[in-house]
Amino acid sequence: MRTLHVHLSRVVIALVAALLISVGLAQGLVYDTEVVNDGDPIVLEFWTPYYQDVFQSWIDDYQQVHPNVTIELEHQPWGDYWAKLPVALQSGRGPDIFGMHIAWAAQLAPLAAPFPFADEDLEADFTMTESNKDGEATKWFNLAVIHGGVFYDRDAWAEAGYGPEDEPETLEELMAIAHALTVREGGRMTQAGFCFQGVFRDMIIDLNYQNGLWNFDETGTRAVIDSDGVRESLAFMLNDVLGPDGTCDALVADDNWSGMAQGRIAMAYAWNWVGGWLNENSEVDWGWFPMPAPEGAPALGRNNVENTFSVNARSGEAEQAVAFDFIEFVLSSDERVLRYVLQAGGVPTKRSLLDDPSVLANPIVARSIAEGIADRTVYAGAMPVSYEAAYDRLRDAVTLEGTDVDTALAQAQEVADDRLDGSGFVAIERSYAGAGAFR
Amino acid sequence: MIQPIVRTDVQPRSRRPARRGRLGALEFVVPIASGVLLFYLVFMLFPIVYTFVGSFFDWRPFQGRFEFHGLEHYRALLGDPEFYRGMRINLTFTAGVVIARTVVGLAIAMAIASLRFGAPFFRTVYFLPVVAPMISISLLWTWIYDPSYGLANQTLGLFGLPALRWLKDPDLALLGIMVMTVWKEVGYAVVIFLAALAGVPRSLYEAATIDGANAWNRFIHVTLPSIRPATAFVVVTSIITYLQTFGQIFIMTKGGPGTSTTTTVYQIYDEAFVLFDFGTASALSMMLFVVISVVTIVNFRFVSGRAP
Amino acid sequence: MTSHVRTQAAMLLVLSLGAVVILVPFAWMMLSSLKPNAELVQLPPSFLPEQPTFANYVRVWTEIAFGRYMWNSLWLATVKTILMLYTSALAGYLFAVYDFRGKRLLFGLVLATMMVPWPVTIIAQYQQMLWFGWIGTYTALIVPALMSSFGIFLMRQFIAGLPSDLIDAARVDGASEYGIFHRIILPLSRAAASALAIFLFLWSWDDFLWPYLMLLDDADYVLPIGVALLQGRYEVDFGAVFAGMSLSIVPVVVVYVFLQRSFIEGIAFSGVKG
Repeated sequence: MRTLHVHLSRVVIALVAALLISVGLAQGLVYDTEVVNDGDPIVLEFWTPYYQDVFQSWIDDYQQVHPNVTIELEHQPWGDYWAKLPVALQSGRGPDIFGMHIAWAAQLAPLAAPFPFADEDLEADFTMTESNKDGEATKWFNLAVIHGGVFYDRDAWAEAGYGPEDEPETLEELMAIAHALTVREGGRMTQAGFCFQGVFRDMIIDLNYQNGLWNFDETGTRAVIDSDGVRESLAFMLNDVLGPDGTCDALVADDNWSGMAQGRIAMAYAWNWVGGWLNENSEVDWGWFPMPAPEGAPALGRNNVENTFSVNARSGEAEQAVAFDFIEFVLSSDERVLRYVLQAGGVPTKRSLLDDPSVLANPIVARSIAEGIADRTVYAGAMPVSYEAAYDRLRDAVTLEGTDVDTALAQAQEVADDRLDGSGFVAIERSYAGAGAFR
Repeated sequence: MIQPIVRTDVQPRSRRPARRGRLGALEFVVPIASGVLLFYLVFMLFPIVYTFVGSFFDWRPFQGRFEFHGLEHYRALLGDPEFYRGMRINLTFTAGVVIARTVVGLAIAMAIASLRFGAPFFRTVYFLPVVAPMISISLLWTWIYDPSYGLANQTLGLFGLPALRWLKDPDLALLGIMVMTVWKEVGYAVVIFLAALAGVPRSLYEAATIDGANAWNRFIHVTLPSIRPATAFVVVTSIITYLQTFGQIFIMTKGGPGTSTTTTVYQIYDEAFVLFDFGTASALSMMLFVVISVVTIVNFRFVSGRAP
Repeated sequence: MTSHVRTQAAMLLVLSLGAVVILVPFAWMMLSSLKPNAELVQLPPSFLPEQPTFANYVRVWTEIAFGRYMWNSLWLATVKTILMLYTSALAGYLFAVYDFRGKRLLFGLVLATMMVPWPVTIIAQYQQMLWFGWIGTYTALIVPALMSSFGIFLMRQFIAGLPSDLIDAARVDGASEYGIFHRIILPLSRAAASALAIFLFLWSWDDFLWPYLMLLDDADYVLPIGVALLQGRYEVDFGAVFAGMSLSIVPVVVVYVFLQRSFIEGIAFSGVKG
């Protein structure tokens, strides 16, 4: 009996110790590399189409700590970058580190090297780590979550007699305000009440989620476009918003943000980043509220992640090692990740930044965190850029070419099927926490 | 693109059969002919065959995929309204530009030919846009068509006409690119026609006038038939060139707005170098090849009146 | 007589209007390139620059390395033209003067490839460049363009028209075939070669898509790529766009104006069929 007791307590101690050790092990990322590449000089190439200022600041910091490393940052124009990157990576003459965007993640994953960090450590520090993965391997890193919402011009609101307390909570209320804000002079719309210019696809996807409808089938490989849900949404978009008595018209602006900047659009559905853009490129005093959803809506819409960078799988071992060290250097630092998050204007995925005052200084982010808005949005997965063409086709067919809705939907469905087939994309929308309430 | 005409009726006056010898012809013929053969096999024949073969495969180079796909690409294309749309836009563009270039080119050439003085000046001026790089001119015209700051709307404004959205208007965009292409390339047709017109013997005109023909009749019955080879040349080379138009669309509209300027060639570029789906792109280019060949042969027969 | 004068006047008027249509876009481009950005975005727009400045050119030259692009274009076009001229003359001589087994087939192959549209070959050539590892190098731009079917055809026609007595005489004197080619054929072909050179040079100068796909490093870019990227890099810097456009067009135009007789005569080279 005594032996058993002793053995049991040993077992208990061992278990407790193991528990403590495992908790201690999953302590998140800690950067403590003193010397990299044995102190030998090494040069890395880093290509990016955006966020170049943030990346450069990271590089400067890193090069101070490790003077033997030189990272050359090259900024490429957006379109050019995505055309050149696959070739460059494949040819072995490409950059060692390259800026990534989620829409190209599926396409570029075969050319990216897996990050050598333990899943537990990453999960300890960051949310949404599953969105960084290609299969089981983490190959890029998302630092901010963005989603849609409605921007409104405070001055235009005030003129029409509205104030912040009049924030609409339903679609009907939104449209009522929108009608009041729509101004027509001599047959031409000089101020649009509510528009979705330039974000046609996102509007449809968000409305689907609000109505508890999935945007992909159960297998996650086929997009759902030709459906009654989309028909309903289109009816709203084409009749209520773009119709002859609507709150917007195609000529008022090419996209929401420039329309708002020019004072031609009073309310616009757009994604978070527009806030920063408006601050930089206009004098508009803007306010924001989440897109009104029907009562009991299981989700507010979709979210997307702002992606940082990946490492070239074909780079030399030494270069890859330094690249991963650089990434660890960045990810483990709150202050560095913060720079990116502020530029992206999104909700940080790094847990320790969720209560950071400069993050909360962005009204959209503060509200999103406070009201848990981001948590009520669905992450659909790394939707490949190629299938956006289906929604472009739909938009052009119904808005430019006057095709009837049924034909347009059928055509768009075909394009989507064609583009997604063979792309290897699998939607993960159904792993959304509130999936149970969906139809 | 500039293409010169070359006489094809010249026969070589003596031929040297390859013969053996110390520094005989064989030592020249073999390496040179082999060099030519090798080059064309590697860089021309192989790509053509490989593209043809590839059109039957699901070929995505950056995903390392090359799986047999049978006739799937072709089946998908033939059932795709987008494909027909692209072809239609391709053909519309070509027909419009070819006709405009030929007709306007001939008209200008005749006007210049009738001048007593100043002909070289006008010839130089009209040919000027031809030598300018297409990419640069495309960008220039994108700006000319700018709805807010462009020269086009400024000019319309001068005449009190309302501003147009040009390249942003799906009904006008293709027309805008066509106008710009004709503006740039008409000079080439002018030069060819000028040379051809110069070769028409005056005696033919005089004889016609004696027979009581007026200017119009002279044109139809003397000028046109006499310059038929030049016309055939202009038309056929224009067709081949414009069916493959790419640069202007890439710079000015990227196939938009909507798909109103998406030609088959642009679709090939999009499939191949944006989506990196080489299989579909290959199938598309094969279909384009067929269309170009058919159109060219038909037109050649029609315009030149004899077999190619 | 008066009706003739009237027709002449009418022709002159119409042609002059046309000339204006041709020239005004160039003028507008150059005038705009001399305006500061503030003036370029003002409405209603001005035609003549109110505050002319060269600042746009300075920006484009220093910030986008336009000078480098021009130099790359010049270098590449020159190399390609010289190589193509040489191979065209060599192959042209071969086809013009010699008979050998398979000659018809080979010449047919050379000609037939002229008929094949570029989209057909470009996809597989891209894959070839991946295999050979030539992506990102000038090798990818030069080697696949070593020979020109058009050039071979032109030179063949021309050389075939040369008097054969010279060739025969040289042979009697014991000259080798290569010697004949280099010492007799080449010098005699200067007329055709210069016409061909103009075309080949302009084709290379204008070439956009292949260099765009093949070149990766900004420092290697050629002029058409620089122009194509102008819009992307300088969304709101209109002055830079106009200056860049002018830089890419004006030199060619200037050369043309001085050499326009050669240009135009090269077009109508050897006369028109008929």
